[in-house]
Amino acid sequence: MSSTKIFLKSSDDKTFEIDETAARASETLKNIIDGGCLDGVIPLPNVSSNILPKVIEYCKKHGGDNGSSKKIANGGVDKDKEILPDYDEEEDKREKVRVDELKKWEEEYMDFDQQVLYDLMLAANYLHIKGLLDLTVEKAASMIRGRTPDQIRENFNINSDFTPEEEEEMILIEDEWDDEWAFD
Amino acid sequence: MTGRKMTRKTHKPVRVGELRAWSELPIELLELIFFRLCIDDNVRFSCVCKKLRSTVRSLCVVNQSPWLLYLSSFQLKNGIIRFFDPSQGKFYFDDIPELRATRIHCSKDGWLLFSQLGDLLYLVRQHPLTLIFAIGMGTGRDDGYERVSIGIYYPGDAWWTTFKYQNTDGVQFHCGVGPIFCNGLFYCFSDLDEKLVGVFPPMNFRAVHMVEVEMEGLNGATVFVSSHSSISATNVPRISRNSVYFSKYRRYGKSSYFYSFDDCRFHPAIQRHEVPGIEKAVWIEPP
Repeated sequence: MSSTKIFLKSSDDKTFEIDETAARASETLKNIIDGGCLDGVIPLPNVSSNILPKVIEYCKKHGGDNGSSKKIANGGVDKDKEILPDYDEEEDKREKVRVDELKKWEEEYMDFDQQVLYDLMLAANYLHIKGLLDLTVEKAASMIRGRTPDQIRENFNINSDFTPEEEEEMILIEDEWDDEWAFD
Repeated sequence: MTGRKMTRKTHKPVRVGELRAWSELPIELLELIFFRLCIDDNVRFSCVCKKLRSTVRSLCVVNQSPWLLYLSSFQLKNGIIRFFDPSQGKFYFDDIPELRATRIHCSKDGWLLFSQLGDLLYLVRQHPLTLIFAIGMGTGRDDGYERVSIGIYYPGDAWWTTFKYQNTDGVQFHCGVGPIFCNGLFYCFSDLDEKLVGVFPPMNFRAVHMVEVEMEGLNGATVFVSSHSSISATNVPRISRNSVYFSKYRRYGKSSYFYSFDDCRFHPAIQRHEVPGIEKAVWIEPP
């Protein structure tokens, strides 16, 4: 597999370089590459230069990986071509190490504020990077779990647009809900 | 794809750093978040603003909790059947006089099967609670021939209607275990020959038995188990997710009522629904 370079241009006209194999982690980019309409630079009008490097970082890590380890062996970027057709007991261990390492990487990778999360989620959606979309959506969900509406508004910069009467009603619903759930 | 470059300048550049309201996220992303939250989180999420309220409401298919059906002394005497709705903590009553002296056998797909003396079966539709028919069978010797009798009773009938079938091929058939309903037919096993099975006309009913639940988790679903039936449900308000609800207390006096896989503990019910002396109860589909 060749390591052809692809150039991506952000919404604010900055150009970034990425290996073709890494770019294939994005369904959208993959379709553009396979469509043969590649003339050097792919414009990404929905992704800013603040977010694009973050996206590229993810793609590099998951380049050519669509969940199958074979693909990593064939077209992986920065990966040892160590997965051979014959099985050995070490394989499982290596797989476990690889998964653990990936989890640790994801933890560090996902350490950013909610505005970056917002943009990254949009970018992952626009570029159809399923793994990144899963990660970001899960992080967003984790920021909602167990929070009150007020805390969610604060976290996510949302103003309540309910009338005072509706607000009252919302509080009642919330309280009722909390009471019902208070088993202990 | 060739049109891509032309649209480039028409898009407003995204500015990071500018605080944008999350309620402006595209619906498809809000949907993805919705499906990762449990129902109580989604209720609070929907209280944040109007857009989120309408989004969550449009996605929220609120399911009803199964009900518990009791066998009680009332039923044995008068055919009064008692139900319990655990999400509301309320009891409901209904009666079918024909069901006195019967016991609940099983529950499946909106149907109930009651039995009397082990060989009379009563098929009951759950909603509305209606007796469809009762069926029983036996073997007798008549004019020197072995005959299988099938008795059928419909609500309103004065008494049972009996059909007698004679084995024309000379094989002796003696009703043993059964009737059993399976794959659309009633079966009855012969007492005399284990290879002989009686088959009777189709009625829309299937039986189910309690399954052992040995799982690490239930993927957010709730399973309701009792000795005669089990039902699973998701997204039921006021019912704990990822939990197993039992039909009676597991530990006497400890009021344990459902087991949550989230914290691996038993919890008490909203309201106690178990009355001392009740032998049997069956989870049924809600109305």
